[in-house]
Amino acid sequence: MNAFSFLEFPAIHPQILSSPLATWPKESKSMYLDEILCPGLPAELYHSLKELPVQPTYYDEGPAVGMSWRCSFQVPPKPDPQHAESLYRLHRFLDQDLPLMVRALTGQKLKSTEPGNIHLVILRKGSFLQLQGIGPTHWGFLVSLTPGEWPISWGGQIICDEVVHSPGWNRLHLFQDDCSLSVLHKHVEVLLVMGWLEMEP
Amino acid sequence: MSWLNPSLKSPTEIEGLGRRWKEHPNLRIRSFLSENHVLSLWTELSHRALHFHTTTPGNFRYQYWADAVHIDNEQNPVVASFARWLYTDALSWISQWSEQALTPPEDRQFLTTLFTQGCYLDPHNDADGKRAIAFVLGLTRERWKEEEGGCLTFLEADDTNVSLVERRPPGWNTLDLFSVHNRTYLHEVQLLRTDRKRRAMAGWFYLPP
Repeated sequence: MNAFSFLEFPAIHPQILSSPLATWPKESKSMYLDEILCPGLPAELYHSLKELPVQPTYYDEGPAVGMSWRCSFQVPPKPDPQHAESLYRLHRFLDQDLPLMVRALTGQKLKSTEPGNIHLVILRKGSFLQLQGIGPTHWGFLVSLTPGEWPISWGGQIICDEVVHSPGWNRLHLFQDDCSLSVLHKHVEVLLVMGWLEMEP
Repeated sequence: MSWLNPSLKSPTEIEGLGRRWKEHPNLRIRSFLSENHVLSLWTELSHRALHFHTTTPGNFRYQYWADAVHIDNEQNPVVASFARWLYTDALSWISQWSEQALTPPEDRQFLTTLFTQGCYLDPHNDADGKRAIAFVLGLTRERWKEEEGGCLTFLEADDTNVSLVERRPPGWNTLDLFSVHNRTYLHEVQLLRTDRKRRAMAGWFYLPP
């Protein structure tokens, strides 16, 4: 029996695949979807990702301006049981399931800009980000894995297309225009997976 | 070279400062330096490369840009001149009216700091048994609303409450001095929520060995 047979199945929530994605207005520049990952995967990922060694990063130019705690990594190209299953499933989600889902939404044939790369972003007190320069050929995305109630006074909100969302649990944000994460005021953490998709030639 | 605003040398001023300090060893002195000197200092500091400092959960938490100024080994001439003056003439001037014997820090350093959006310094009282007086020289040219953050805030804690005692906005040519020895003051720099620049120099005058 193949211990990695889980990779044969989408990591995206079956409910998303069965929902009428085609009804989403194609001209929209941003959207969010709750319950994006398979049941159980968000909790597994949350615990795996929290253990990774994030570093404080401050950028004043580039596609993600601001201060956050980050860790970028690749899962090994071949299945390796020494690494968490959840990371392989996330990898599959980012490189296969998500581009297909966004294609179903937009009609655009898309691929990950950095196949195999996973960018973990943690916001802590004082963190903020401005994700810029997405452009018509790219989509940015954030997978929010932030548990619990989130009062607006805490900051750390995700603002895409002037719509403000508190960080959520198992929520996907997709955006084509600028997207920002407001300054986090409290000693709490927002956990996100960040990345970009680009149109295939 | 004297950096002190000449008006602060008068006997009346010195007596007034002494009286205020005796009543409440926590005060802000306005127009501390001569205006031409403070401008030179700010100009040199605004070109200085600073390092970003932040802490991980579980530790005392802060986030700001800073660089150490070595009193004896500072490369920038204006900052070097100010540092030497601060720990000689200025220290004697403060000793005079605070009636507190003071010495420079053992490591011969203090900090130049910059708070930008997202920077903060959580509540603490600075007490370590050796420090006598904390100082913050305000070098912030901008003014902004209190709710944007970046204020030096003094707090009071009892068994049940933490209350706000005083909130000092970032100052230009202000010197905040407060006791960190017999009487201590819980203080913080509130999270700077907007795209502003709060510049200061900060450190401590020490008790004699």
